[in-house]
Amino acid sequence: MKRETRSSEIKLALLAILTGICLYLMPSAYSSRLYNLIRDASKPGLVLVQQIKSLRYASAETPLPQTDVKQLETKLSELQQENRRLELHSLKLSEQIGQLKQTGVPSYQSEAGERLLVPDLIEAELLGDSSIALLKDEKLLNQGRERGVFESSFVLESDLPLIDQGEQQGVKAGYSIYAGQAVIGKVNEVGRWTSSLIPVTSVDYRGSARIARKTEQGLQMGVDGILVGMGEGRCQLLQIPPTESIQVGQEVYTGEVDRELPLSMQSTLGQPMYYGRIIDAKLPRGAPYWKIIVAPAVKLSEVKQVSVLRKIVNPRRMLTN
Amino acid sequence: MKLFSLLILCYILLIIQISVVPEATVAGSRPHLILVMLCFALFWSRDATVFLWGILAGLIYETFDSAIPGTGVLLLTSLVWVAFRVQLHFQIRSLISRFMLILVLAFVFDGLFHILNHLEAIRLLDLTSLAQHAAGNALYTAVAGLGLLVSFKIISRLVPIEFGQSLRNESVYESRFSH
Repeated sequence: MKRETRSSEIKLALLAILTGICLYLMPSAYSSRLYNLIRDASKPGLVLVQQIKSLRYASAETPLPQTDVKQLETKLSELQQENRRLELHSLKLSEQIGQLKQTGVPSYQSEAGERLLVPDLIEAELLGDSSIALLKDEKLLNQGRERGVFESSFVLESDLPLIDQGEQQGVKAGYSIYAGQAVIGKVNEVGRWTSSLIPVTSVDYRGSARIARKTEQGLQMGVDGILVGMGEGRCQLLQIPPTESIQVGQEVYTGEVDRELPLSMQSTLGQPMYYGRIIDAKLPRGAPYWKIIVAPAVKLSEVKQVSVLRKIVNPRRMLTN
Repeated sequence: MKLFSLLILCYILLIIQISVVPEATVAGSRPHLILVMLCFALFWSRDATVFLWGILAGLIYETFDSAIPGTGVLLLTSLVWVAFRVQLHFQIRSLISRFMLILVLAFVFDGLFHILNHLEAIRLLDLTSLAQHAAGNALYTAVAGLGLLVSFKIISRLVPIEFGQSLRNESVYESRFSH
Protein backbone atom coordinates (compact mmCIF):
# COMPACT_ATOMS: atom_id res chain seq x y z
CA MET A 1 0.00 0.00 0.00
CA LYS A 2 2.78 2.40 0.98
CA ARG A 3 4.69 1.54 -2.16
CA GLU A 4 1.60 2.33 -4.26
CA THR A 5 1.22 5.74 -2.58
CA ARG A 6 4.88 6.51 -3.15
CA SER A 7 4.65 5.51 -6.80
CA SER A 8 1.58 7.71 -7.41
CA GLU A 9 3.35 10.57 -5.62
CA ILE A 10 6.37 10.29 -7.90
CA LYS A 11 4.16 9.96 -10.99
CA LEU A 12 2.14 13.10 -10.16
CA ALA A 13 5.24 15.08 -9.19
CA LEU A 14 6.85 14.13 -12.50
CA LEU A 15 3.65 15.11 -14.33
CA ALA A 16 3.74 18.53 -12.63
CA ILE A 17 7.42 19.04 -13.47
CA LEU A 18 6.79 17.95 -17.06
CA THR A 19 3.90 20.42 -17.28
CA GLY A 20 6.20 23.20 -16.10
CA ILE A 21 8.91 22.28 -18.61
CA CYS A 22 6.37 22.02 -21.45
CA LEU A 23 4.99 25.46 -20.58
CA TYR A 24 8.52 26.88 -20.60
CA LEU A 25 9.42 25.34 -23.95
CA MET A 26 6.10 25.79 -25.74
CA PRO A 27 5.66 28.89 -28.00
CA SER A 28 4.07 31.77 -26.13
CA ALA A 29 1.13 31.79 -28.56
CA TYR A 30 0.01 28.42 -27.17
CA SER A 31 0.77 29.05 -23.50
CA SER A 32 -1.02 32.40 -23.65
CA ARG A 33 -4.20 30.55 -24.70
CA LEU A 34 -4.07 28.64 -21.45
CA TYR A 35 -3.54 31.83 -19.47
CA ASN A 36 -6.39 33.52 -21.34
CA LEU A 37 -8.62 30.60 -20.36
CA ILE A 38 -7.84 31.23 -16.68
CA ARG A 39 -8.43 34.97 -17.13
CA ASP A 40 -11.78 34.28 -18.80
CA ALA A 41 -12.76 31.89 -16.00
CA SER A 42 -12.12 34.59 -13.40
CA LYS A 43 -14.20 37.16 -15.28
CA PRO A 44 -17.68 36.33 -13.82
CA GLY A 45 -16.36 36.65 -10.27
CA LEU A 46 -14.60 39.90 -11.06
CA VAL A 47 -17.72 41.36 -12.66
CA LEU A 48 -19.67 40.45 -9.52
CA VAL A 49 -17.09 42.13 -7.27
CA GLN A 50 -17.10 45.18 -9.55
CA GLN A 51 -20.87 45.44 -9.30
CA ILE A 52 -20.78 45.14 -5.51
CA LYS A 53 -18.09 47.84 -5.37
CA SER A 54 -20.00 50.18 -7.68
CA LEU A 55 -23.16 49.73 -5.59
CA ARG A 56 -21.23 50.58 -2.45
CA TYR A 57 -19.56 53.63 -4.00
CA ALA A 58 -22.80 54.85 -5.60
CA SER A 59 -24.44 55.11 -2.19
CA ALA A 60 -21.44 56.83 -0.58
CA GLU A 61 -20.46 59.10 -3.48
CA THR A 62 -21.28 62.80 -3.47
CA PRO A 63 -21.38 64.44 -6.92
CA LEU A 64 -18.39 66.63 -7.74
CA PRO A 65 -18.97 70.17 -8.95
CA GLN A 66 -18.84 70.51 -12.76
CA THR A 67 -15.78 72.80 -12.65
CA ASP A 68 -13.84 70.20 -10.64
CA VAL A 69 -14.77 67.51 -13.16
CA LYS A 70 -13.50 69.65 -16.02
CA GLN A 71 -10.28 70.46 -14.18
CA LEU A 72 -9.72 66.79 -13.40
CA GLU A 73 -10.41 65.81 -17.01
CA THR A 74 -7.92 68.40 -18.26
CA LYS A 75 -5.34 67.19 -15.76
CA LEU A 76 -5.96 63.57 -16.76
CA SER A 77 -5.54 64.33 -20.44
CA GLU A 78 -2.30 66.27 -19.71
CA LEU A 79 -0.96 63.37 -17.68
CA GLN A 80 -1.92 60.88 -20.40
CA GLN A 81 -0.07 62.99 -22.97
CA GLU A 82 2.99 63.20 -20.74
CA ASN A 83 2.81 59.46 -20.15
CA ARG A 84 2.70 58.80 -23.89
CA ARG A 85 5.66 61.13 -24.46
CA LEU A 86 7.70 59.31 -21.81
CA GLU A 87 6.75 55.90 -23.19
CA LEU A 88 7.88 56.95 -26.66
CA HIS A 89 11.10 58.34 -25.24
CA SER A 90 11.71 55.04 -23.44
CA LEU A 91 11.00 53.15 -26.68
CA LYS A 92 13.55 55.29 -28.52
CA LEU A 93 16.16 54.72 -25.82
CA SER A 94 15.57 50.96 -25.76
CA GLU A 95 15.97 50.89 -29.57
CA GLN A 96 19.26 52.75 -29.23
CA ILE A 97 20.40 50.32 -26.52
CA GLY A 98 19.44 47.37 -28.74
CA GLN A 99 21.44 48.84 -31.60
CA LEU A 100 24.45 49.49 -29.38
CA LYS A 101 24.27 45.92 -28.08
CA GLN A 102 24.41 44.66 -31.65
CA THR A 103 27.09 46.97 -32.99
CA GLY A 104 29.03 47.69 -29.79
CA VAL A 105 29.98 51.06 -28.35
CA PRO A 106 32.86 52.84 -30.14
CA SER A 107 35.94 53.09 -27.95
CA TYR A 108 36.59 56.71 -28.93
CA GLN A 109 34.61 59.87 -28.31
CA SER A 110 32.41 60.71 -31.29
CA GLU A 111 30.90 64.10 -32.07
CA ALA A 112 27.30 64.29 -33.21
CA GLY A 113 27.12 65.68 -36.74
CA GLU A 114 24.35 67.81 -38.18
CA ARG A 115 21.80 65.89 -40.27
CA LEU A 116 21.34 67.02 -43.87
CA LEU A 117 17.58 66.57 -44.03
CA VAL A 118 15.52 67.54 -41.01
CA PRO A 119 11.79 67.50 -40.33
CA ASP A 120 10.19 70.91 -40.18
CA LEU A 121 6.80 71.77 -38.75
CA ILE A 122 4.80 74.65 -40.20
CA GLU A 123 2.19 76.13 -37.92
CA ALA A 124 -1.18 76.51 -39.62
CA GLU A 125 -4.64 77.60 -38.60
CA LEU A 126 -7.81 75.79 -39.50
CA LEU A 127 -10.08 78.16 -41.38
CA GLY A 128 -13.60 78.47 -40.06
CA ASP A 129 -16.73 78.69 -42.20
CA SER A 130 -16.81 82.49 -42.03
CA SER A 131 -13.20 82.80 -43.23
CA ILE A 132 -13.86 80.41 -46.14
CA ALA A 133 -17.00 82.34 -47.09
CA LEU A 134 -14.99 85.57 -47.10
CA LEU A 135 -12.35 84.03 -49.35
CA LYS A 136 -14.98 82.68 -51.72
CA ASP A 137 -16.89 85.95 -51.96
CA GLU A 138 -13.99 88.30 -52.36
CA LYS A 139 -11.74 85.96 -54.33
CA LEU A 140 -8.81 87.02 -52.16
CA LEU A 141 -6.72 84.15 -53.32
CA ASN A 142 -6.87 85.09 -56.97
CA GLN A 143 -5.66 88.64 -56.55
CA GLY A 144 -2.42 89.39 -58.30
CA ARG A 145 -2.02 85.93 -59.82
CA GLU A 146 -2.47 85.21 -63.48
CA ARG A 147 -2.97 81.49 -63.71
CA GLY A 148 -3.55 80.53 -60.12
CA VAL A 149 -7.31 80.76 -60.41
CA PHE A 150 -7.95 77.04 -61.15
CA GLU A 151 -5.81 75.74 -58.32
CA SER A 152 -7.18 78.13 -55.70
CA SER A 153 -10.75 77.66 -56.83
CA PHE A 154 -10.33 73.93 -56.69
CA VAL A 155 -9.25 74.15 -53.06
CA LEU A 156 -11.97 76.61 -52.14
CA GLU A 157 -14.74 74.61 -53.75
CA SER A 158 -13.77 71.51 -51.84
CA ASP A 159 -16.02 70.40 -48.98
CA LEU A 160 -12.97 69.43 -46.92
CA PRO A 161 -11.62 71.62 -44.08
CA LEU A 162 -9.00 74.22 -45.03
CA ILE A 163 -5.76 75.38 -43.44
CA ASP A 164 -4.22 78.79 -44.05
CA GLN A 165 -0.92 77.52 -45.49
CA GLY A 166 -0.37 76.68 -49.14
CA GLU A 167 2.11 76.23 -51.94
CA GLN A 168 3.99 79.41 -51.07
CA GLN A 169 4.88 78.01 -47.66
CA GLY A 170 6.14 74.78 -49.18
CA VAL A 171 3.07 72.65 -48.40
CA LYS A 172 2.58 69.65 -50.69
CA ALA A 173 -0.27 67.17 -51.10
CA GLY A 174 0.19 64.13 -48.85
CA TYR A 175 2.00 65.91 -46.01
CA SER A 176 0.82 64.85 -42.55
CA ILE A 177 -1.03 67.28 -40.31
CA TYR A 178 -0.73 67.05 -36.53
CA ALA A 179 -2.32 68.61 -33.48
CA GLY A 180 0.38 68.28 -30.84
CA GLN A 181 1.47 64.63 -30.99
CA ALA A 182 -1.77 63.38 -32.53
CA VAL A 183 -2.34 62.88 -36.26
CA ILE A 184 -5.44 64.65 -37.51
CA GLY A 185 -5.12 64.18 -41.27
CA LYS A 186 -3.23 64.74 -44.50
CA VAL A 187 -3.00 67.56 -46.99
CA ASN A 188 -5.27 66.88 -49.96
CA GLU A 189 -5.16 69.76 -52.43
CA VAL A 190 -2.73 72.67 -52.25
CA GLY A 191 -3.67 76.16 -53.32
CA ARG A 192 -1.51 79.21 -53.42
CA TRP A 193 -2.30 80.31 -49.86
CA THR A 194 -4.58 77.62 -48.52
CA SER A 195 -4.76 73.83 -48.58
CA SER A 196 -7.53 71.35 -47.95
CA LEU A 197 -7.01 68.44 -45.57
CA ILE A 198 -8.43 64.93 -45.35
CA PRO A 199 -9.27 64.16 -41.72
CA VAL A 200 -8.25 60.71 -40.40
CA THR A 201 -11.93 59.78 -40.08
CA SER A 202 -12.69 60.58 -43.73
CA VAL A 203 -13.29 57.58 -46.01
CA ASP A 204 -10.57 58.95 -48.33
CA TYR A 205 -7.90 58.78 -45.62
CA ARG A 206 -5.30 56.01 -45.68
CA GLY A 207 -2.14 55.90 -43.61
CA SER A 208 0.35 53.44 -42.22
CA ALA A 209 -0.28 52.55 -38.57
CA ARG A 210 0.80 50.11 -35.87
CA ILE A 211 -0.39 49.09 -32.44
CA ALA A 212 1.66 49.66 -29.31
CA ARG A 213 1.63 47.00 -26.60
CA LYS A 214 2.47 47.93 -23.04
CA THR A 215 4.79 45.33 -21.57
CA GLU A 216 6.99 45.18 -18.50
CA GLN A 217 9.92 46.08 -20.73
CA GLY A 218 8.10 49.22 -21.94
CA LEU A 219 6.25 50.05 -25.12
CA GLN A 220 6.52 47.51 -27.96
CA MET A 221 5.37 48.24 -31.49
CA GLY A 222 3.47 45.64 -33.50
CA VAL A 223 3.45 45.07 -37.25
CA ASP A 224 2.45 47.81 -39.69
CA GLY A 225 -1.16 47.92 -40.85
CA ILE A 226 -3.23 50.44 -42.77
CA LEU A 227 -5.50 52.92 -41.04
CA VAL A 228 -8.51 53.97 -43.12
CA GLY A 229 -11.26 56.38 -42.21
CA MET A 230 -14.80 55.06 -41.83
CA GLY A 231 -16.65 58.37 -41.50
CA GLU A 232 -18.77 59.06 -38.41
CA GLY A 233 -15.72 59.81 -36.30
CA ARG A 234 -14.20 56.32 -36.49
CA CYS A 235 -11.29 54.64 -38.30
CA GLN A 236 -10.53 51.04 -39.13
CA LEU A 237 -7.14 49.38 -38.87
CA LEU A 238 -6.61 46.83 -41.64
CA GLN A 239 -4.03 44.14 -42.43
CA ILE A 240 -3.24 43.18 -38.82
CA PRO A 241 -2.62 39.40 -38.81
CA PRO A 242 -4.30 37.08 -36.25
CA THR A 243 -0.92 36.30 -34.68
CA GLU A 244 -0.88 39.80 -33.13
CA SER A 245 -2.28 40.08 -29.60
CA ILE A 246 -4.93 42.82 -29.74
CA GLN A 247 -6.94 44.25 -26.87
CA VAL A 248 -9.45 47.06 -26.61
CA GLY A 249 -7.78 50.17 -25.20
CA GLN A 250 -4.39 49.66 -26.88
CA GLU A 251 -2.93 52.73 -28.54
CA VAL A 252 -2.36 53.13 -32.28
CA TYR A 253 0.65 55.04 -33.65
CA THR A 254 1.92 55.90 -37.11
CA GLY A 255 3.85 53.21 -38.96
CA GLU A 256 7.51 53.30 -39.86
CA VAL A 257 6.95 54.17 -43.52
CA ASP A 258 3.77 55.61 -44.98
CA ARG A 259 3.10 53.23 -47.87
CA GLU A 260 0.65 55.68 -49.36
CA LEU A 261 3.33 58.30 -49.98
CA PRO A 262 6.23 58.27 -52.45
CA LEU A 263 9.68 57.81 -50.89
CA SER A 264 10.72 61.38 -51.66
CA MET A 265 7.91 62.66 -49.45
CA GLN A 266 8.44 60.40 -46.45
CA SER A 267 9.05 62.42 -43.34
CA THR A 268 8.72 61.67 -39.67
CA LEU A 269 9.61 63.48 -36.48
CA GLY A 270 11.87 60.59 -35.50
CA GLN A 271 9.16 59.06 -33.31
CA PRO A 272 5.74 57.49 -33.86
CA MET A 273 2.82 59.91 -33.75
CA TYR A 274 -0.46 59.10 -32.03
CA TYR A 275 -3.59 58.13 -33.96
CA GLY A 276 -5.94 57.03 -31.18
CA ARG A 277 -7.19 54.09 -29.16
CA ILE A 278 -8.75 50.76 -30.11
CA ILE A 279 -12.42 50.69 -29.14
CA ASP A 280 -13.40 47.38 -30.73
CA ALA A 281 -11.41 44.38 -31.97
CA LYS A 282 -12.80 41.17 -33.39
CA LEU A 283 -11.22 38.20 -35.08
CA PRO A 284 -13.97 36.45 -37.04
CA ARG A 285 -13.45 32.70 -37.36
CA GLY A 286 -11.18 31.89 -40.30
CA ALA A 287 -10.57 35.57 -41.12
CA PRO A 288 -7.04 36.41 -42.33
CA TYR A 289 -6.94 39.73 -40.43
CA TRP A 290 -8.31 41.38 -37.29
CA LYS A 291 -11.26 43.74 -37.58
CA ILE A 292 -10.16 46.71 -35.49
CA ILE A 293 -12.05 49.96 -34.90
CA VAL A 294 -10.07 52.97 -33.71
CA ALA A 295 -11.36 56.17 -32.11
CA PRO A 296 -9.08 59.09 -33.08
CA ALA A 297 -7.38 60.96 -30.26
CA VAL A 298 -8.41 64.40 -31.46
CA LYS A 299 -11.58 65.60 -33.15
CA LEU A 300 -11.11 68.19 -35.87
CA SER A 301 -13.77 70.39 -34.29
CA GLU A 302 -11.69 70.58 -31.09
CA VAL A 303 -8.57 72.13 -32.67
CA LYS A 304 -7.81 75.46 -34.29
CA GLN A 305 -4.03 75.35 -34.56
CA VAL A 306 -2.33 72.50 -36.41
CA SER A 307 1.17 71.68 -37.73
CA VAL A 308 2.13 70.49 -41.19
CA LEU A 309 5.15 68.22 -41.32
CA ARG A 310 7.60 68.53 -44.19
CA LYS A 311 11.23 67.61 -44.75
CA ILE A 312 13.76 70.34 -45.53
CA VAL A 313 17.51 70.70 -45.98
CA ASN A 314 19.06 71.53 -42.61
CA PRO A 315 19.42 75.36 -42.49
CA ARG A 316 22.56 75.06 -40.31
CA ARG A 317 24.27 73.00 -43.00
CA MET A 318 23.25 75.62 -45.54
CA LEU A 319 24.83 78.35 -43.39
CA THR A 320 28.13 76.52 -43.05
CA ASN A 321 28.42 76.46 -46.84
CA MET B 1 -16.98 16.84 -1.71
CA LYS B 2 -13.44 17.73 -0.66
CA LEU B 3 -12.39 18.39 -4.26
CA PHE B 4 -15.49 20.43 -4.94
CA SER B 5 -15.04 22.53 -1.77
CA LEU B 6 -11.39 23.16 -2.63
CA LEU B 7 -12.33 24.24 -6.17
CA ILE B 8 -14.88 26.73 -4.83
CA LEU B 9 -12.38 27.96 -2.24
CA CYS B 10 -9.73 28.34 -4.96
CA TYR B 11 -12.09 30.43 -7.12
CA ILE B 12 -13.16 32.66 -4.23
CA LEU B 13 -9.57 33.21 -3.11
CA LEU B 14 -8.51 33.96 -6.70
CA ILE B 15 -11.20 36.64 -7.04
CA ILE B 16 -10.22 38.12 -3.66
CA GLN B 17 -6.53 38.02 -4.63
CA ILE B 18 -7.01 40.02 -7.81
CA SER B 19 -9.79 42.37 -6.76
CA VAL B 20 -9.56 43.00 -3.02
CA VAL B 21 -5.94 42.28 -2.04
CA PRO B 22 -4.39 45.16 -4.09
CA GLU B 23 -6.41 47.57 -1.94
CA ALA B 24 -5.68 45.73 1.30
CA THR B 25 -1.92 45.99 1.55
CA VAL B 26 -0.34 46.41 4.96
CA ALA B 27 3.00 48.27 4.91
CA GLY B 28 3.43 47.30 1.26
CA SER B 29 2.89 43.59 1.94
CA ARG B 30 0.16 41.47 0.40
CA PRO B 31 -0.87 37.88 1.07
CA HIS B 32 -0.59 34.99 -1.41
CA LEU B 33 -4.08 33.56 -1.07
CA ILE B 34 -3.59 30.97 -3.82
CA LEU B 35 -0.65 29.61 -1.84
CA VAL B 36 -2.95 29.41 1.19
CA MET B 37 -5.39 27.37 -0.91
CA LEU B 38 -2.53 25.09 -1.93
CA CYS B 39 -1.58 24.59 1.72
CA PHE B 40 -5.20 23.74 2.56
CA ALA B 41 -5.17 21.15 -0.25
CA LEU B 42 -1.99 19.76 1.34
CA PHE B 43 -3.52 19.64 4.84
CA TRP B 44 -6.87 18.23 3.82
CA SER B 45 -6.18 15.77 1.01
CA ARG B 46 -2.98 14.28 2.52
CA ASP B 47 -2.26 12.45 -0.72
CA ALA B 48 -0.41 13.00 -3.98
CA THR B 49 -3.33 14.88 -5.63
CA VAL B 50 -1.80 17.98 -4.06
CA PHE B 51 0.57 18.08 -7.07
CA LEU B 52 -2.42 18.72 -9.34
CA TRP B 53 -3.35 21.66 -7.10
CA GLY B 54 0.28 22.75 -7.42
CA ILE B 55 -0.06 22.82 -11.21
CA LEU B 56 -3.28 24.86 -10.97
CA ALA B 57 -1.80 27.31 -8.46
CA GLY B 58 1.33 27.68 -10.60
CA LEU B 59 -0.74 28.44 -13.69
CA ILE B 60 -2.74 31.06 -11.78
CA TYR B 61 0.44 32.78 -10.57
CA GLU B 62 1.92 32.76 -14.07
CA THR B 63 -1.30 34.19 -15.51
CA PHE B 64 -1.74 37.10 -13.13
CA ASP B 65 1.92 37.92 -12.43
CA SER B 66 3.01 37.91 -16.11
CA ALA B 67 5.69 35.42 -15.15
CA ILE B 68 7.92 33.36 -17.42
CA PRO B 69 5.75 30.37 -18.48
CA GLY B 70 6.44 27.27 -16.42
CA THR B 71 8.33 28.95 -13.58
CA GLY B 72 5.32 29.07 -11.25
CA VAL B 73 4.39 25.42 -11.86
CA LEU B 74 7.97 24.19 -11.45
CA LEU B 75 8.61 26.22 -8.31
CA LEU B 76 5.34 25.32 -6.61
CA THR B 77 5.69 21.64 -7.50
CA SER B 78 9.13 21.52 -5.93
CA LEU B 79 7.97 23.35 -2.81
CA VAL B 80 4.84 21.25 -2.47
CA TRP B 81 6.87 18.07 -2.80
CA VAL B 82 9.10 19.15 0.07
CA ALA B 83 6.08 20.26 2.14
CA PHE B 84 4.31 16.98 1.38
CA ARG B 85 7.27 14.94 2.64
CA VAL B 86 7.60 17.20 5.72
CA GLN B 87 3.90 16.77 6.50
CA LEU B 88 4.09 12.99 6.17
CA HIS B 89 7.21 12.77 8.28
CA PHE B 90 6.23 15.14 11.11
CA GLN B 91 2.47 14.50 11.01
CA ILE B 92 1.64 18.20 10.95
CA ARG B 93 -1.83 18.72 12.42
CA SER B 94 -1.70 21.57 14.96
CA LEU B 95 -2.53 25.16 14.05
CA ILE B 96 0.91 26.41 15.05
CA SER B 97 2.80 23.92 12.92
CA ARG B 98 0.48 24.59 9.96
CA PHE B 99 1.01 28.34 10.45
CA MET B 100 4.78 27.80 10.42
CA LEU B 101 4.58 25.65 7.28
CA ILE B 102 2.54 28.31 5.42
CA LEU B 103 4.99 31.00 6.61
CA VAL B 104 8.08 29.15 5.38
CA LEU B 105 6.46 28.11 2.09
CA ALA B 106 5.26 31.66 1.40
CA PHE B 107 8.67 33.15 2.19
CA VAL B 108 10.59 30.76 -0.04
CA PHE B 109 8.01 31.00 -2.83
CA ASP B 110 7.84 34.80 -2.78
CA GLY B 111 11.62 35.20 -2.81
CA LEU B 112 12.35 32.62 -5.48
CA PHE B 113 9.43 33.63 -7.72
CA HIS B 114 10.69 37.22 -7.73
CA ILE B 115 14.26 36.18 -8.37
CA LEU B 116 13.24 33.89 -11.25
CA ASN B 117 10.98 36.38 -12.97
CA HIS B 118 12.70 39.67 -12.33
CA LEU B 119 16.30 38.63 -12.57
CA GLU B 120 17.33 41.79 -14.42
CA ALA B 121 15.77 44.06 -11.79
CA ILE B 122 17.04 42.00 -8.88
CA ARG B 123 20.63 42.71 -9.86
CA LEU B 124 19.97 46.39 -9.19
CA LEU B 125 18.27 45.76 -5.83
CA ASP B 126 19.96 44.48 -2.71
CA LEU B 127 18.97 41.09 -1.35
CA THR B 128 18.14 42.37 2.13
CA SER B 129 15.28 44.55 0.85
CA LEU B 130 14.04 41.60 -1.23
CA ALA B 131 14.15 39.32 1.82
CA GLN B 132 12.32 41.93 3.92
CA HIS B 133 9.62 42.24 1.29
CA ALA B 134 9.27 38.45 1.03
CA ALA B 135 9.12 38.16 4.82
CA GLY B 136 6.35 40.76 5.01
CA ASN B 137 4.32 38.98 2.34
CA ALA B 138 4.94 35.59 3.97
CA LEU B 139 3.82 36.81 7.39
CA TYR B 140 0.67 38.34 5.90
CA THR B 141 0.00 35.08 4.01
CA ALA B 142 0.50 32.95 7.13
CA VAL B 143 -1.78 35.19 9.21
CA ALA B 144 -4.47 35.05 6.51
CA GLY B 145 -4.05 31.26 6.35
CA LEU B 146 -4.29 30.94 10.13
CA GLY B 147 -7.42 33.10 10.16
CA LEU B 148 -9.03 30.92 7.52
CA LEU B 149 -7.99 27.72 9.31
CA VAL B 150 -9.50 28.93 12.59
CA SER B 151 -12.71 30.06 10.87
CA PHE B 152 -13.03 26.68 9.09
CA LYS B 153 -12.55 24.91 12.40
CA ILE B 154 -15.30 27.00 13.98
CA ILE B 155 -17.63 26.41 11.01
CA SER B 156 -16.98 22.67 11.03
CA ARG B 157 -17.90 22.59 14.73
CA LEU B 158 -21.08 24.59 14.20
CA VAL B 159 -22.23 23.01 10.94
CA PRO B 160 -22.23 19.21 10.90
CA ILE B 161 -20.74 18.72 7.42
CA GLU B 162 -18.27 15.96 6.77
CA PHE B 163 -16.02 17.23 3.97
CA GLY B 164 -14.58 13.79 3.53
CA GLN B 165 -17.86 12.17 2.58
CA SER B 166 -18.62 11.27 -1.00
CA LEU B 167 -21.39 12.99 -2.91
CA ARG B 168 -22.50 9.69 -4.43
CA ASN B 169 -25.57 8.12 -2.89
CA GLU B 170 -24.37 4.89 -1.43
CA SER B 171 -27.83 3.57 -0.49
CA VAL B 172 -28.94 0.77 -2.75
CA TYR B 173 -32.49 0.07 -3.83
CA GLU B 174 -33.73 -3.13 -2.44
CA SER B 175 -36.86 -4.51 -3.88
CA ARG B 176 -39.34 -5.68 -1.37
CA PHE B 177 -40.53 -8.19 -3.89
CA SER B 178 -37.16 -9.77 -4.55
CA HIS B 179 -36.64 -13.22 -3.29
